[in-house]
Amino acid sequence: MNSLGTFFELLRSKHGLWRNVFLVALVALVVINLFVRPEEPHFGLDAYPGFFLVLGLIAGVLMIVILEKVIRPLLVRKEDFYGDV
Amino acid sequence: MAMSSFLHPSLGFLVLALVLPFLRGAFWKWLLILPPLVAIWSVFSMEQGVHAILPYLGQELVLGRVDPVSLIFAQVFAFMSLIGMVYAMHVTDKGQHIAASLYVAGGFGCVFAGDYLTLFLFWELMSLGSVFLIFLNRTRESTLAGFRYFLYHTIGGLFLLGGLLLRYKATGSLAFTQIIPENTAYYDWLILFGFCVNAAVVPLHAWLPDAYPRGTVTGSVFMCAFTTKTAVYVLMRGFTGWEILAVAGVIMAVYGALYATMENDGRRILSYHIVSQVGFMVAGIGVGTAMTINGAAAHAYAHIIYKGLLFMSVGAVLYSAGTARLDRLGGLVGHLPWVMILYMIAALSISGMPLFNGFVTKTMTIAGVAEAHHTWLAMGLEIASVGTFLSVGLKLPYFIFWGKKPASAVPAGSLKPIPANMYVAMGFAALICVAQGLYPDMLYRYLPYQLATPYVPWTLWHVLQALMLLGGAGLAVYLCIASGILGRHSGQNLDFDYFYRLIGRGVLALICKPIGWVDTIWNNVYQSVGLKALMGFALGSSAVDKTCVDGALDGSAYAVRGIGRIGAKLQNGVLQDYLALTTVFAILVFGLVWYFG
Repeated sequence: MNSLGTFFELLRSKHGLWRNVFLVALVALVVINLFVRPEEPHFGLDAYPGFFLVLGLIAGVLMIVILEKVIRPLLVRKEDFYGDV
Repeated sequence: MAMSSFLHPSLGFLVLALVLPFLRGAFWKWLLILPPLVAIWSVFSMEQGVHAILPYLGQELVLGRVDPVSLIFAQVFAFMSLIGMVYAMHVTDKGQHIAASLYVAGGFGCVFAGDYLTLFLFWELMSLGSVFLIFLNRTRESTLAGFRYFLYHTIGGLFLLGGLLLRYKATGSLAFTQIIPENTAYYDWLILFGFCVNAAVVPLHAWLPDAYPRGTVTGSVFMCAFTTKTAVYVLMRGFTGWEILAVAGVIMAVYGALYATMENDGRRILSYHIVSQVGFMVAGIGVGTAMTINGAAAHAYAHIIYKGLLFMSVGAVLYSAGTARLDRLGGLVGHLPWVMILYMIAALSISGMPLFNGFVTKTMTIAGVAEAHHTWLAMGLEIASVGTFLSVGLKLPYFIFWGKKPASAVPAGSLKPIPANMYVAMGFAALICVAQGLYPDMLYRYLPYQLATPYVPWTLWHVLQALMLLGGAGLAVYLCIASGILGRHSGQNLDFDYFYRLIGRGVLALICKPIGWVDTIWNNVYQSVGLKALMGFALGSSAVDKTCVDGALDGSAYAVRGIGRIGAKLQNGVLQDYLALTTVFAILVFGLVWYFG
């Protein structure tokens, strides 16, 4: 493992710190959104501060939960379902 | 073909493919980068206009239609061919380089084609070149995938051929120009269908995630760049403003992103994201305003580079660890830190993160779609962006580089060192991703249309909007991994290729059953009637044979045996070899017809 690899391993071990930095950054984005307004709202709701953050969060969670819990169990087959491997 | 101020970029690649089999030693690997360098020089030095008109079969083939639309695609093709060739320099299998060269030559040929016949010839050359990039992975899995790929593209190609011939019959012209959506005929739809097969428009897309994960490590890097983007180019040439493409594009964008989120194989995740990203371009073409066309062209450029980088970096993991399956990888950041950095540059580019080229091209497309008052389509593209960041930006790197190693993971001790040329190629692609992100004008100046109010990506609001959208998606992934909803799963997910296979089996049964029936009857007839007659005939002829024919025949028998040996070598029952021979034969016939016709 080279020194860059060791450095990344060190970063990897501090995952709690990274999570906190990330959460603070998200709050900061919403606060900035209070002052920086959309040039031209297209969807109506995007006039509210934090809209795109909430859109990303809700779309992301819904997507993962529906795909992993509903769609994937219906569609998944064993790796060699077609007998190609 | 070489004309004043126009040297066809395909030429170098065709020459390379022709001479490579005869070269010995190790120096030839340096020749690989010559055709791309010539192509880059050629693209930057050629003049706009119509060049290289070739009489063929009573038609005029236009090999060099040079205008802003063909130039921007040719430029990115040239850079990508250089990146791909450098990435493949360590490969000693000449067959792979020949296949890649033919494939790239086909791509350039399509981009500069001014008529449908030229387009079709190069279109098929691409299809042939790429199928060998899959075959040459030399596993049972890739051989089978290669045949499916070839069959499917042949059918797509036949639709194109049928369409262009019927079009010629009706209009008397093979010119490849815009088709106005209001006055279309059925043959235009056939052509559109042929294009849509290569553009991987849902539900015609399933060949892509079937074949690309099974190509060679270096071959898939070429394939991910050229086939679908050539299709985007021809759609832009013929079908701008077709409303149906706007809807199809958004469906592709969302569908690809959703499927990628569920997949386990790294290269298959990336393959579904080709479907998704090409969806952005197809939507832009479908909406058909100057801004969305510019957006589609810009996004195609950026996409070729960052998708190439994604396939290269996941290819590097595959090369090193022997697998790209998430359930067999984990915690690799310490061992492959540079691969992780290069991968992340591409992943943030595809996600549209500020600083990277996806940000300046994707936002342009979405803004263009929204400004053309297709609000719901724009919303679909935003949601596809969330899905992209989920799977390529977070899930894949988390499970390969950062997350805990699963019990079935490849041990770190068995990792193969990655050749330097692969790093050089990835570094070059990463440089373009960042440079275009920071200085969008590097890319924008080559866009086909001049806008009354130029699009400015770097505004405070665009940056904030992108960061919020991706931040929200990041939080979603964090919550889902922490709660155990998102994890590693083995297995493959059914897609539309299930139905393709059903159709395939049906056709096979339709052909085989009647033949089998005739064969059984023939066997019976032969055994009861034919055999007796034959015995009688044989007795008679053996008498004649012994007395007079023996001597004369002995000589010719030797000749026949000689031919038989060559025949046996050629007819070895390996279909891939037949395909290669057919290709050589077809090119010979093409040359002869051109020379004498």
